[in-house]
Amino acid sequence: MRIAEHPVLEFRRESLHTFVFEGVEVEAFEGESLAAALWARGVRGLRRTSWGVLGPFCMIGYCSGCLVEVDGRRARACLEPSRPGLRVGMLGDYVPRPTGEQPGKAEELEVDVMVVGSGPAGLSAAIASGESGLEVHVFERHFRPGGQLLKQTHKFFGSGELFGGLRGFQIAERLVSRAKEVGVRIHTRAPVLGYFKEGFFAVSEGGRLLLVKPRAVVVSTGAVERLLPFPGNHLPGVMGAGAAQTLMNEYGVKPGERAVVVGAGNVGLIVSYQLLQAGVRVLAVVEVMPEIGGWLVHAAKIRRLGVPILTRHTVVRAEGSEQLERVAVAVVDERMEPLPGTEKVFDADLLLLAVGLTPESRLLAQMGARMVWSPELGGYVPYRSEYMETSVPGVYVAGDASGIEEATTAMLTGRVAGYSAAVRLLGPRRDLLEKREEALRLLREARKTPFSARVVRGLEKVVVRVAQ
Amino acid sequence: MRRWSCVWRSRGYLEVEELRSMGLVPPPERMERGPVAVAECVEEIPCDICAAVCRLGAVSVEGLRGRPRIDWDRCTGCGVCVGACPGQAMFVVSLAGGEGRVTLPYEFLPRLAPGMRVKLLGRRGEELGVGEVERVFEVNKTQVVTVKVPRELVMEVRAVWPL
Repeated sequence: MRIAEHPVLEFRRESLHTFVFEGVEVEAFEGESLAAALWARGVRGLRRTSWGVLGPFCMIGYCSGCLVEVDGRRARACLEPSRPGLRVGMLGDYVPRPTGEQPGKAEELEVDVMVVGSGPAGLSAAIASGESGLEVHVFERHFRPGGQLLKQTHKFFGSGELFGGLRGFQIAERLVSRAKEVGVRIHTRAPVLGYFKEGFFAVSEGGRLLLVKPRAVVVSTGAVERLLPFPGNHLPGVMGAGAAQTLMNEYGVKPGERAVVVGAGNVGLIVSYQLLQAGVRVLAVVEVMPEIGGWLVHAAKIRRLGVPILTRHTVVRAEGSEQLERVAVAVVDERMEPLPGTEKVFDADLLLLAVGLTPESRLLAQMGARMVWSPELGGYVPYRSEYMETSVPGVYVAGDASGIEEATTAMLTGRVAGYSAAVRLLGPRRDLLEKREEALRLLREARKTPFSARVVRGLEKVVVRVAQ
Repeated sequence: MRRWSCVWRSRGYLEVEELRSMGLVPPPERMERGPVAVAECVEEIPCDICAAVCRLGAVSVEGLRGRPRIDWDRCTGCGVCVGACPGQAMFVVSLAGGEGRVTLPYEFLPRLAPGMRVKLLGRRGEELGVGEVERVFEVNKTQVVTVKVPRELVMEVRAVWPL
């Protein structure tokens, strides 16, 4: 179902057309992903596997719950923009096989700075390098630039300098237009496939292979939502909180009617409020800890609208035949084990997991950057200098790929990385060094909150001091 | 730095008594004189939007992370901070003219307009009766709604919902 009217967002719905999914005509608007159009049509399961039907979990191209066949080619429905007349079908169990397609001749592209990912970190890095006078190319796998800012409808904390008071999607608009202003070239639908030791990156763009040879690289690939193990977690209707945000806030598609949210961190609290704005009933927010994890003000916003926050509770089971129908939760004891006899069952068609993120840093690992497991930063992250340079000279990291924080710090680490790339290529110009110092100062200030204490502890173990 | 551990973090909202003990509730005499802002923001959020938007200089935030403090003599209760606060933690209360009024943020449908009657909700979502919308303006798609409420409920009503 599509959201007809929204209190904060306006959805541009133009060029209505249809595509075919498993023999059924599906209506879609220009700029919608296949996954969004299918969800709006009421299609929940997109893949039939030997253990059941799967639906989308992440909606940003990482899980394979929406892997389908599009005109004979495998594609993730969440990354595929709808076009008239497409023939889409279910894939079944995934068996990699050659497609028989012959790639065209590879094209080579030499650039000053290559930025991988166009979220808050990548765009900020691109702007910093672009402003310095370098030729910057951003590569984004999605068909719209902006990353996860696009689906943030709440106003951001902060000060004016860091876009405080603006809504996330408004910040994305500003960053994209500023990047274009300073001459940054943003390639969309252009996933970076990997790095070759001869010094180039393979990028797939518009059906052709692009070999990008950069003089400096910023990896700002973001993060992936975590899954939680419990019976039934594969059922369509169980998804990451971010996936629901993609549906309702980017595409105006109602993710469900009755929701349970797991996790009372900022993501869980904010998504609950956004569900209410989209007209979805939020039956409960379930939190395993004795306290909420996010800011009190975000919790107060949903409590005053009658949403219960069940602390010391966890989800024990999701039930349903072809899609989610019920969610069972229970009280946990001191060891976080569910207590028998405390189960509550909710009739819900949507179960959102907001149980944390893990850095998407595989490109850096593949490039040979020295990585380390950091529980405080959410997973495998690269060692880096305080100027965001990894162990591979000229390769920088920024945003959640360097450790899970939030959008403001992502923009700041992006700025630091972008100026560092400029310093490497243009020399230690005073204006560049000053701007980088200012970004570092703001970063230190932003990390002084109680929430950042853990991140700061993690950073102490992965930031390597180097003489400049 | 340690994580705070407070009873309000297990329940997800602040009680009036807790706000009062932190010196955040204006005295009744001030509320009788006319509308005044209440900042229900007690954690160290790196944000100073409220201070930045107040043209009277009535809100101060120490550094970027201090708690906002309202100068009750300077504040005229205009409500701009109510619409600007990203945490929806700013409210305006008034007991002037013998009537209770609360100004609060609202981001739902239908859009509210003066004269409409709405459900009054308390801090934990409990229904506290029905009130009438008196005045509405907008700050970046957030409606700032002034609603008439019983005098004893000016510190209790924190949300409205369409009837």
